[in-house]
Amino acid sequence: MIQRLGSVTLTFYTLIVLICLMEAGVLFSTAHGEIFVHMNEVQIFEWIMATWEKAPLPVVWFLSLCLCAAVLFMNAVCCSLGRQWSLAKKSGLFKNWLFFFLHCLFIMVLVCHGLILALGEKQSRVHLFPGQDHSFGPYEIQLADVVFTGDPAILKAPKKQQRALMTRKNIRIHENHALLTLVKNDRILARQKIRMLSPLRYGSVQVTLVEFVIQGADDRLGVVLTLTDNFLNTFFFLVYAIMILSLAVFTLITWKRPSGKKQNMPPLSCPETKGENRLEGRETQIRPD
Amino acid sequence: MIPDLPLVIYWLVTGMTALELLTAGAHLPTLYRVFLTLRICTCLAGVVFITVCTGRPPLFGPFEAAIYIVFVMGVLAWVFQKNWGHQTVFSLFSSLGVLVILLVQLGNPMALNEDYFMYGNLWVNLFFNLRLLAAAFLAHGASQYLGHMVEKKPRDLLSTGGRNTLLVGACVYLTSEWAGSLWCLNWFGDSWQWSRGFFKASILFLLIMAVCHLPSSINKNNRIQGISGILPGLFIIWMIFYH
Repeated sequence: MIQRLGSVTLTFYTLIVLICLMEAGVLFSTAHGEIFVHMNEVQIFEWIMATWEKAPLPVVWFLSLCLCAAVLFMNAVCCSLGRQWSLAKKSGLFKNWLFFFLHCLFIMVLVCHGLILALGEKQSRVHLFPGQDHSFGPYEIQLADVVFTGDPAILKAPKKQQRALMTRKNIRIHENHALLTLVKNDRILARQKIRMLSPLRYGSVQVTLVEFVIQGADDRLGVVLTLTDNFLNTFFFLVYAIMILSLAVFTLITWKRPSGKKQNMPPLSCPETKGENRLEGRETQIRPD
Repeated sequence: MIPDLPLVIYWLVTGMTALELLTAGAHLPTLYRVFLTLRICTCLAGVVFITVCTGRPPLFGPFEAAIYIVFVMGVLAWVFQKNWGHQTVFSLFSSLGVLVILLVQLGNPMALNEDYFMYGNLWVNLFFNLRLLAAAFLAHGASQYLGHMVEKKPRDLLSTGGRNTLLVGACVYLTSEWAGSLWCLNWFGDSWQWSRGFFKASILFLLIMAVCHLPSSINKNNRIQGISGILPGLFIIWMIFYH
């Protein structure tokens, strides 16, 4: 059973279905743009509840995508633990251990992707002006000051014009900032100037400056923030980086040199094993790279 | 003069690639190598021009992306043939691929991209630039797979090269996506967001994975394996120029 669940054939067809679902996602995001914007602004369960009544098709698409990702996850687990592990143990070769390790890292990246989607807290597009504060779970965010050294007319311009005006010369990213204080139970946890692309991080909490805004008759300068609390982010980036590094090392140590003989194309990545593809009732040999 | 320079570079590179294709087709390896070297040097001048004028590496857009991808593809073709000798079929497909990339830009404005304040950020630069680099690797790999498919007496030279290039392309592409995730985290507070760009980027990764996980029944068929090896290269080129 584990062999069937971990077969390369299942991997391949699951990938094909996933590609089709992603293609459908491209079409959906064109047709239902606002639904996808909402998807990014709230937690996923909240989005499912809110979208189901007005547009059930994107929800069905999303659930199919999750199901397919779950099949791929299960397939990767069965393949790694059922086949690659025993192969690596039996051969003791570094490249086989690395191959096993690479798949484990992929599984972790896939899990992190899913969990980041479902876990944690998020508040999008929080408008704050100097002197105001905002609650975020047990935390409070106080905005003391906002500095924008560029021409305020840029912030008043329509979005399409804004893009052309926001050059490196006009927007000095290191000078524009918001002075924030993160408070919990009347205790100051962090006080920091945050800039665009340079958020405040305290443990798993992140306060991100999305944009500067000008509002009201008195041209009051404020900021739009995104508040997130997700403990997985650091771990995700670390595992992702190690996975890329492992793939690079794997590519290097399995670098193929041509023999010049007539030959079928070499398979890309599967280590040597016999007996794969029993689903099709024949023995196949997958050679190491 | 400077505003017209991108157009001059574009036409010079296109002309040299056309000559490269002709000499490859006429089995004139020495002349082919001369035109290939000239093409690489012209593209290098284009890349230096972009970098000096904008203060950043090439990122995207018809001119910047085409010149950079064509430059890297040229270097890869040069290195590959220096190590393994002149491969006529590969030369033909590589030059043809480059010519197609250049010709589909016809009608698009040949100019540098407008500046944006985020272009000073390391992760933004890495995301866009490495994506172009990955495109060059995957397109080079596609030429090798295509060459292998149509070779009268297929040897493992081109297929092995295709396999190696595809894996390097995957590494570069994932590094670009990693940098893009960091950019997204610093900009929106999320490591990734649902968007058309995300779906397309995922399709490319899944395509590469599919090529790496061809079942044995398909794996035996050189043609199907060749076509699957070409798909990531085609898709990333489409993604970059028609996003």
